Amino acid sequence: MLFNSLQFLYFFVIVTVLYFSLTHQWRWVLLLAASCYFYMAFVPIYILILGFTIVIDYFAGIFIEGAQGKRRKLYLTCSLVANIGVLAVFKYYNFLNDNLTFLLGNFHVANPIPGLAILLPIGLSFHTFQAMSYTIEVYRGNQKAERHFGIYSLYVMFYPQLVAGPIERPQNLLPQLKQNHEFDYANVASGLRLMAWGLFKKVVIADRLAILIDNVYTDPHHFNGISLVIATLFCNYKIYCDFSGYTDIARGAARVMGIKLMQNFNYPFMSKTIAEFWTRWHISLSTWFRDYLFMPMSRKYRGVPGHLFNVFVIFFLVGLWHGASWNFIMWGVINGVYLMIGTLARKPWKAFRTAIGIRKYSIFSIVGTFTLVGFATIFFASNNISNAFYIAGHMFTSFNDLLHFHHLQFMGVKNSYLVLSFGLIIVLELLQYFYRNHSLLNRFLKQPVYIRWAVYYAAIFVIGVYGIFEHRQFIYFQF
Amino acid sequence: MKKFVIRLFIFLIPISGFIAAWEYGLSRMPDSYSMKREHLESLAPKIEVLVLGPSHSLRGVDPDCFSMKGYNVANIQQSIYYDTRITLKYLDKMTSLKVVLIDISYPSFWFQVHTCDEPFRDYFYAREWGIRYPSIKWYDIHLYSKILAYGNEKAWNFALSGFSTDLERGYQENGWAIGGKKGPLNDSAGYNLAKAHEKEMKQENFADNISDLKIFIGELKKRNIEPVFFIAPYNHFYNKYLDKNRMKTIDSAINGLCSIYSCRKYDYHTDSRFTDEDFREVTHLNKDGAIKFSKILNDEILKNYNSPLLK
Repeated sequence: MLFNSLQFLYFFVIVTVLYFSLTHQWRWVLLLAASCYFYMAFVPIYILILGFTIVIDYFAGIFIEGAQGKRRKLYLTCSLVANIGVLAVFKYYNFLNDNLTFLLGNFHVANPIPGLAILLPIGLSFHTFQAMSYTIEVYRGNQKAERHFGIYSLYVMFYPQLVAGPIERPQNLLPQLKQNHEFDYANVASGLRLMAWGLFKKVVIADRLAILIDNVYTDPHHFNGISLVIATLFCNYKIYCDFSGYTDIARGAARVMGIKLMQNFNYPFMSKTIAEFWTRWHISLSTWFRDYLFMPMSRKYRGVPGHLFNVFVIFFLVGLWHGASWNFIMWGVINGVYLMIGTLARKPWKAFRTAIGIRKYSIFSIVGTFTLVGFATIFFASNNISNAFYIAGHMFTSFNDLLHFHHLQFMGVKNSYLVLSFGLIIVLELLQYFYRNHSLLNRFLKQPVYIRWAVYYAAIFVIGVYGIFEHRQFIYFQF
Repeated sequence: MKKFVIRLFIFLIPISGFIAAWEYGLSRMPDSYSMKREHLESLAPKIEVLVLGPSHSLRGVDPDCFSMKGYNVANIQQSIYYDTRITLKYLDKMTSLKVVLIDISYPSFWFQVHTCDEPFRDYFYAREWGIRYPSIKWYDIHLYSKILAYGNEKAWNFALSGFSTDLERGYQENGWAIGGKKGPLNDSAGYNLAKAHEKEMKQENFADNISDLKIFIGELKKRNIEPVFFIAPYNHFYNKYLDKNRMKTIDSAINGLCSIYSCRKYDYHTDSRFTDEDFREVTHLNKDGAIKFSKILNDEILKNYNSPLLK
């Protein structure tokens, strides 16, 4: 069930109405049943996998809390092995096996291990990481083990963030699931506004940009430099609008019920460095890796070489987390290399800036960071690694063709589409700029009701009429 | 909560009114499905030649050029599924029917409406022709809302045009559509259209389409009606980007059917008698091209038939 479908609209209305109609003691039952239904709308049988990890982690939490010394570590290890094992089988088995086949093939040896004909359970990496965060926090003593099996199951399965995050921490979500949330007009209105904004980003911007990207990235060999640059620029915005749109809808749906999910994006394209970008992009994942892997590794591998090693490993894993393919790994590695270079160049760069008298470098830094992110995105968005290398190698060629606009016709879109798409990107950036720097929302909320309603009607009209509702999946569902 | 519910109710009143007016406008708009059905029903007993297929035959075949009474039931993106179902539904009423011309386009064998870029057409076959594709359930809301059936953007464009029509430009009572916008005749147009068609071709549809044709041809043969396969002329800019393996598969599939049921096959897709002058864009003939093609169909396929109705 996609957030951008009629099915979800019915589902959301029914679940929300029932939620506020029931007394507090029954709400977790409703939310758990609704979450099961939501998940089973994709591939019903995979609920069993989710159930398996929920049972393991529920008991692991209780055992870890009750144990002392090495037994605590043993229970944690069991839980992590179970979670990572599920990920390994369903997400990475075929990838590893394919690579083994390739390697053995070079020595003219057939791979005797068969591949698995299985679909990847939707949102597997998200709920697995959320479940692991629970057992790790219990192990670290930051979180009490949850005794209520239903509430714990709901923590893993809470439908708004079940399939694409944000990857919540138990300290934030578990207490909220136990609280009684009265109907709150402000929460409901603000949740619905956030959902509308997320839907706008998804169906009006992301899915519109996707039309051109699909045409170019599916078979990039027919396109010249300028076409590849435009498609890659669109890719950056498409992925952002798609994923942050999903997050906004998820956070909005939860907020309507009085539950506050963590922020996942904080204007990432305003970042001045790649390091800053990773504090603003997919925050729930980057902080997960920071807290549960990078920090422990930093204590073990110290100094500049240790730091560089840690960064490389973390971003290799970030890439691998996204998908079992070389292009995602390459995307992660490129980001890691950016950060490693950033670390090594920090002092010389500072000295250079001081020497030539530059103090502020914001706009150039923002554009530079955006360009670097965009270059890495080629590997994220390509169907395979060879297409990614082709795009990366050809996007700065054929610039003598710049004015030959007949090349643009090959992208399969009309000129009006290009104008509209660039216009939407500008509108997005302007709205975000005013929201961030000029308290757009607060100003808006102080306006008389007829102005606010006119804006709501206009927003509904734009989404309803100009949104693309072709059941296009959210990109991050595949992870 | 009461305050919220009241406000929500008031907020939704203008939206509901707007949607109702939009639906009303769409429901009164003539469309090619209802028109084709009405014309087919009124002409059924007289029809001797029935033309099936997608837009290539809709725009490329003028039945008035035939020496026999013809009707063109082809429609935009009409799949083999609907070609065969529509014909079978009216077969008993078409008492004079002698020949069925079946246009097999490049995507036809791999094509179904619900997997194409305009899946709304399925709902019109269900509403207007009473032929519901098996995957569409009776409770599907798209069957009852034209906004949802067309899709928001298309439905809004109809509203902007004053709900004038959803008919092909130059739609004729014999089912032929003359007009339509002139499109570019160049390499990129050929490439884009071939790629767009490739996207709509799904391997899982192949066996169903062949099976539908077998049942269909069997029924026609029982009634002494001759099925004739043809491939319409395409422009060289489009032909250049067609997958040669697919074209071979089309050829061998038609040959297979022809050898089982002893029917004829005519392939015009690279026919040198058609030049750029005959096309309005890379896959569709213009008015003159369509008349030229229809006369060729008549000369090469129909001229041996004798029509008592035209005597």
